[in-house]
This record gives sequence, structure tokens and C-alpha cells, in this order.
Amino acid sequence: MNMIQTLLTSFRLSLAYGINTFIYRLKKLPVLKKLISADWYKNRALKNGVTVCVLLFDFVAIFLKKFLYLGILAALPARYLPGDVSANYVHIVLLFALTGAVMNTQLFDASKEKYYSVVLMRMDPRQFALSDYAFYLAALFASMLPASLVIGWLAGASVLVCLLLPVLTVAAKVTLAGIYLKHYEKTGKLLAGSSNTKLIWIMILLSLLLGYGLPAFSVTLPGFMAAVFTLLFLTTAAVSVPSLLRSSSYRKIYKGILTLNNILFHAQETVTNLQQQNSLSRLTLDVTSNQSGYDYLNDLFVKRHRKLLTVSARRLFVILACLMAMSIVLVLVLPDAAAPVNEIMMNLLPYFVFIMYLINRGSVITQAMFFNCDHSMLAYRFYRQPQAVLSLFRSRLKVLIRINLLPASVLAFGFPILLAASGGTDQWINYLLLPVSIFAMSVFFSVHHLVLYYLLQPYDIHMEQKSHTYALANLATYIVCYLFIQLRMPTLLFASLTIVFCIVYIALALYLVYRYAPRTFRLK
Amino acid sequence: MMKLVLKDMEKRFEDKEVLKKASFTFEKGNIYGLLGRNGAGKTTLFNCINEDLAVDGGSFYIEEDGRTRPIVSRDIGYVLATPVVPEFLTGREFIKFFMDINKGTIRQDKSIDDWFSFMKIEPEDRDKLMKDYSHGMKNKMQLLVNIIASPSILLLDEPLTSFDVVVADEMKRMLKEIKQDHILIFSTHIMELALDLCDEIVILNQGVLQEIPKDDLDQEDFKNKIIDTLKGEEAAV
Repeated sequence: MNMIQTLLTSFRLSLAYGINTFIYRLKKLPVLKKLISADWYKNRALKNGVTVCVLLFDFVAIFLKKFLYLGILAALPARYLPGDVSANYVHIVLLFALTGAVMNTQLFDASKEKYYSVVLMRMDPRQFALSDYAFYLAALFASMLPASLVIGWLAGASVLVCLLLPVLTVAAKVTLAGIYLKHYEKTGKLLAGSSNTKLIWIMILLSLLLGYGLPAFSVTLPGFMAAVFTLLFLTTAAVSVPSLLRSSSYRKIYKGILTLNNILFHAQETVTNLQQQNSLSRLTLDVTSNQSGYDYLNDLFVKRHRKLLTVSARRLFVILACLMAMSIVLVLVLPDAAAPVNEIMMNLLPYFVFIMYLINRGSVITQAMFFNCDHSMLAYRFYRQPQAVLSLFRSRLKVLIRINLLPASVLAFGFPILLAASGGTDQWINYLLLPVSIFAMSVFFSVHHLVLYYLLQPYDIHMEQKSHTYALANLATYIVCYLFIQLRMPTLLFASLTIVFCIVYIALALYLVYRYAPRTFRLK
Repeated sequence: MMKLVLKDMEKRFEDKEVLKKASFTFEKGNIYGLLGRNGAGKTTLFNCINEDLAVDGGSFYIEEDGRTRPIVSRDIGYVLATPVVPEFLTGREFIKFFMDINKGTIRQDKSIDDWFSFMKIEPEDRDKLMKDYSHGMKNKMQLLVNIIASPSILLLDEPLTSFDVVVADEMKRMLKEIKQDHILIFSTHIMELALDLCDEIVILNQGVLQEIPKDDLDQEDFKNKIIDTLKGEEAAV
């Protein structure tokens, strides 16, 4: 089989996968579920229709992504950074082309398409790797070119630089792919790939520091560097290409990266699965409990997963306490800081709704509850009995509230001090409202996350997400909390409203759980 | 005499009818072997009886001394084919927790260690985290909690497949030991296992349940009859 054929075969394969996934997803949607039958998978005419849609979508997406990438990550910051917009833009795109090449080579990333082609369909790894990579680079170049010309023109960059950018991007990727391959052949270790998160984070940090940091201090790469870089990387790429073409290591590399653990069929669960594995591998027998029944189960659960649950809350407590202490000292030492801090305390409490949302461990903890406990326990019928569900719910709610109150207490006790230190207020009631409202918010988020989980638990026994309501509810929570950032309201009013709202909401949520959770809290 | 009565049970997934008016009466004191080909719907039937899935038609209930009553949670134990146990607990902790929450309803004459010995779980394994248990050990634990709960109906989905020959033999003995007090329904597609252990062979084919009476056939003829039933009905459609 030659390269072109390999490419076409793998292309058809991933297309078939894309189409079936598309129909499968459609079948999950609330209304369409009823209309779509399993016959759709074998209906040729329909599939051809879907094929066109999927292809069109993919095509548009490739181009759109590049426009968004250059627009949002380069042109937009370039406008807000000091100095010349076009110089900033060129500086950012050049640096990102280089860090991007280190970060993402594609060739050695684990992906579903590679898994299907190489492992399941037993295609020749080298032929597959090379044809797939060639196609990737061609698509990269083709989509980068128009985006670079349009966005670059908008940002005021010269046409030459805009033309060079796609060339540089491709050349840098090929160069790095060659380096990674050489390194692998020498040491047997693969530096690249999506699994090397440390490298990726370092590169992201570098990109931010150099890409945005230098222009912030009015230091930018001169425009001619585009040509220098391009020439340099074209040369190195020319060295890379033969070794990439000749290498016989692809089979071994793919054997290493294309394991079922890497190719998670539900990509969104990667993180949670990792979390589960990590916390499980740290499980130790060093703790016991002298409680009984569901409290016993919950107590052991919390103690054995303390790394995931309590330790991070404690860490958060320390960080917040340090920040709070620093703020208080700052206000006392710098008289200039007092007025704005006082303003924050008196009028910016809504902002802390979002902060409280961010520091609440509820969503992580409920996830841990599912993956490490309920996932297996819900298979037992006794565990789903109304009494059992509610008894464990109570036990868990107590723990969740307690875990979250720890970091919240820093804000609750720190704010009145901060208020007093920054000049205080005539309305003494504020000293009381601040801590009470912070505690109310903390309890509110704990209740909210646990109640959502008990009412909308979305996973089945294979840990596959069966409903999207839970994800949507979480997204809605995030958006609502985020919107509070915009709100300016006197603390007196906002804190009172918050406290009343939290009490009403908590009462309502608990009622809903007692009423419905025995029916909703099960594997889907 | 207690009976589990299934009456005209129907279940379909989209257009696929898995149960088509399946009816059967299971009696206490017997081990029933539920045989069926791959995908015949054995697990679906169990899920329906355990009320994990709602049936689309028909009913099932318990008949005791001529009176009928609906099945309640305590009546049923269900051992899944793939064992799931809370991995962060040790075997002992899991049993302690289970005995705690069922204090009022289970017999108290055995200690946790008695139960472990009954299940042939070695002393050195009893205080290990269950995440380090083998597949077979997890299966044993799952079976054990169901035996401790002592439900009148015990559904076992492919229970012996994951055990090695020695353990499978132990488990067979154990199931025979407890059968007087239970209705044991045992799904499998391994015929030898069913013939060896079960008092009655029930076949799930084309969505209906059918008993294969042994009559006075010898083992070989009985086997052939079962295979014919499994195949013949398929061909008839």
C-alpha cells in the first residue's frame, strides 16, 4: 500500500468514526432521541448527507481555529500592549510559532484516529505516521496562510511576514519532530506528546512570559527576525525530513503511546480518571474509623482520599491566609491603599461570589465521590434505598460543608479586619454582615454542588456520561457566578440579600433532595 | 412454598424486542440455570427483576402460601458479572459496614471472620484494600455480601466464570449448601456448568423462557436437546 492509499484509508476510517459519533451524539439529545433509530447507522443516503456535514464542519473548523488563534491570542493582546501594534503582533506570532512547535508536534500525540488505524486496523505504523503527518502539515499550512494574511493585515503586519509565518510554523514543527525522534532513538524516551504535561506547562508559561511579557516592557523582536527564523528553521527542517522519512521507530513509538489508557474514548473524562487513579494509588491503610453505618463509610472515604479532599482545602486555607495577612499589612503600612480596599469591602462584595465559587471544592469532591465510591456502590440495591441515600447524603453534606468552611473562614474573619484597618465604616452592621454572608455563600456552594450531584448524577456503570443536564447546570452556575463580577452594590444590601437567598435556596434544595434523590441518585 | 412468578414480561430497546411475554415460575429450594446465547437478554432479564430497568409490559411478583405480593428490596440479591466493590475499603471494612447497616434484618450468628472462612477468603487477604484484590476475590466479596443479606431470591450473573477451578468448585458446594432457603437463578452460557450445578435448566431464547425437562434422558441426550432448543428456535424464525 502506498502513502496516498494509506492516507485515504485512514481518512475514511476517521470519517466513518466521525459520522457514527455524530449520529450517536444526536441520539443523546432530549428531543431527537425519539426520532432517530439505530437504522440511521446503515442508511447510506443519510450517511452521505451526514458525511457532507461532517466534512464541511471539519473544513470550516480548521480555518476558523486559525483565525481565532491569531485573532484572540496575538492580534488582540497586541492592541492592548504598549507600543506599536504591528510590532507586538509580529513578536507574539513568531514566539508562539516556536513554543507551539515544542509543545505540539502532532506526530507523537496519542489520538483516537491513530489508535484505530495502527492498533485496531493494523496499518503500517511508518506509512500511517508519515502520510498522516504530511496531511496534517499541508492542512496546517493551507489554513494558516489565509488567517495569517487577514489577521496580519488587520494588525498592520507586512505582507512578507504574513507569508513567512505559515512557512515558519510548518518548518519549526518538522524540525522539532526530527529532534524528538532523534532523542527517542538515542534514549528510548519520548519527550513530546500530549502526555508530557510538564513540558507543555513550561512552554505555556514561556509563551506567556516572552510573548506578552517582553512587549509589556516594550521589548519586541524586530520584523526581520521573521525571515531569519524562517531561513534557520527551513534549514533545520531540511535536515529533519530525511531522518523522519527513514526512521523505523514509529512502530515502537506508537506501541508505547497508543495504549488504551492514553486513548480515552471519552476525552472529557481524562482528567477525572487520572484523578481517580492518582488518589487510589495513594490509598493507604493507615487510618480507621470508629463510627458506624454510612458515617463509617463516609468517614473512611474522606480519610483515605484526604489528599484529594482535605489537603487541598488546607493548602487553600494557607494561601488565602497569607494573602489576607499581606493585604492587612499593606493597608496598615500604605495609607494610599486604604481607600480602594475600603471601597472593595463596602461595595464589591458581589465580586466575591465568583471567588467563593472558585475556592469551593464541591465539584471536585462530588466527582471523587462518584468515581471512587458511588460508581461501585450504586450497583448494590441496598445502597439505593431512600433511607440509605438520604443517610449518606446527610453525612456527606456535613463533611463537604466542613471542608469548605476552612478556606472560607479566612475571608469571613479577614474581611471585617480589613474593613476596620482600611478606615472602617459608620454602619457597624457591616462588620457582622461580611462574615455571615461569606459563610452563607460557602454553605450555599457546598449544598449546591452536592444537591446537583444527587439530583442529576449523569454517569452509567461504564463511567460514560449519559445526560448533559449535569454539565449544563454546572456551566450555568459558572456563568451566573461570573456575571456577579460586573455587579456593584453596597455591602449592606448585597450581604443581606445573599444571606436571605442562601437560606431560601438551601431549604429548597434540601427539600428537593429528600423528595427526589431516592429516585434520581442511581447509575444512568 | 415461596415462588417468584414472572408473567408476560416485555422489554424492548428501540426496535429490538429482548423479552417477548417471558413467563416463568421459579420455586424455592432449586438452583435454576438460565441458559441463553450471547446477547439473548439474560442480563436484561436480571436487570428487570432487580428493577434496574423498567419493564415495558407484564409483571413479576412473589407468591407465598397462595398469596401474592410485590417484590421489595430485601427480597433480592444480585451478583453482577463484573464485580464492583468500593476499592478504598478493606474486605473486613466492607463487611463490617454492610453488617452495620443491615443490623435489624440479617442473622447475627456469624462473626465477620466466620463469614470470611465460609467464603474461603484467607486471613491474610481480609485486611487488604479491595483495590488490590483480584477479579475473583472481588467477585467473592460481592457474592458474600449478598449471602449475608440472605435474600429469598439470589440472581447470579455469570458468577463462576471468573473463578479458578478450585474456587469454582468451592462456590458450587457453597451454593448447593444454601439452596434450601433461596430461589437461586444462575445465568451462564457454559452448559457444563449449568448441568453440573443446577436442578432445572431454563432457556432464554427469542425473548421467551422455556424449561427443558430432563425426563429420563442421559447426560449426552440432554445436552443435545438443549443445543437443539437453542439452535432450532433460531432457525424457525
